[in-house]
Amino acid sequence: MNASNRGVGGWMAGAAALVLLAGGCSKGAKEEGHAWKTSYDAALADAGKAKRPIILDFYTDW
Amino acid sequence: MDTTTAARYHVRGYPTVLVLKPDGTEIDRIVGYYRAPEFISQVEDYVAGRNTLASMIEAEATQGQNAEFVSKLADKYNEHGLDAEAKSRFERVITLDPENKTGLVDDALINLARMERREKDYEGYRRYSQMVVDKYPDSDMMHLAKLQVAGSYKREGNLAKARELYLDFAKQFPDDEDAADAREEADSLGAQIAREKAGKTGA
Repeated sequence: MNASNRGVGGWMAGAAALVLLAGGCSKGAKEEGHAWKTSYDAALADAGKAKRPIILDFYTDW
Repeated sequence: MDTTTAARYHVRGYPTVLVLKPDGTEIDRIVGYYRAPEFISQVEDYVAGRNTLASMIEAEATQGQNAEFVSKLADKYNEHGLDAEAKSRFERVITLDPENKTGLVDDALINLARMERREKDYEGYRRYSQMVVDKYPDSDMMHLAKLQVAGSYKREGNLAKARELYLDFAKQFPDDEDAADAREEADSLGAQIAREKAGKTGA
């Protein structure tokens, strides 16, 4: 019942970005060989070139 | 890119997924877990400009008196970490629907309480929690609200009052799934109070 009992130390947190290509989210990513990037700047540069939106996922592994 | 990027977009919890324009400005975000079909339809909505914070801010001009709409807008602001805007909308839900016909007012109060707790305003945390107990005793969040009232005293350091309320809770709702936790909380507070007493007289 008490979420504050959980400690923060030791949890892995990260972020990954995916440029959404024409043709939908997952399909575009798979068929055109694009993958999640862990560099924000690289994803931004790709998205700018392709003029496509980005999905930016903030996640943890706990 | 973890923490700097998270800070740049005011990400407060995990998982949070942002949908960005090609230039990196945020269209909107999805906070928490959703099943794949719902998740995909939210992303598609955002890319098309639907159900975004920006579109809801625009819609507020015409739907600002509709408690259900205002409640959604409050949640949206809350997800974006825009506390002042979220608070004023949660407050408006309470004003728009004093009899809680929508069933959204107790939610609004619990949200307001938690925002106060986040800001370490435990008096405010208690005030909103107590309103659920007093005004909406039939709410499915009434038990939670009672525990929050007890917790507010604990956080303020009023251990005796907190202990008393946890004991009351366990006595009043012996079959509640949280009754055992409340008893445990009361026991540990009792031990802490005893320790502090012994420490004082010992010194």
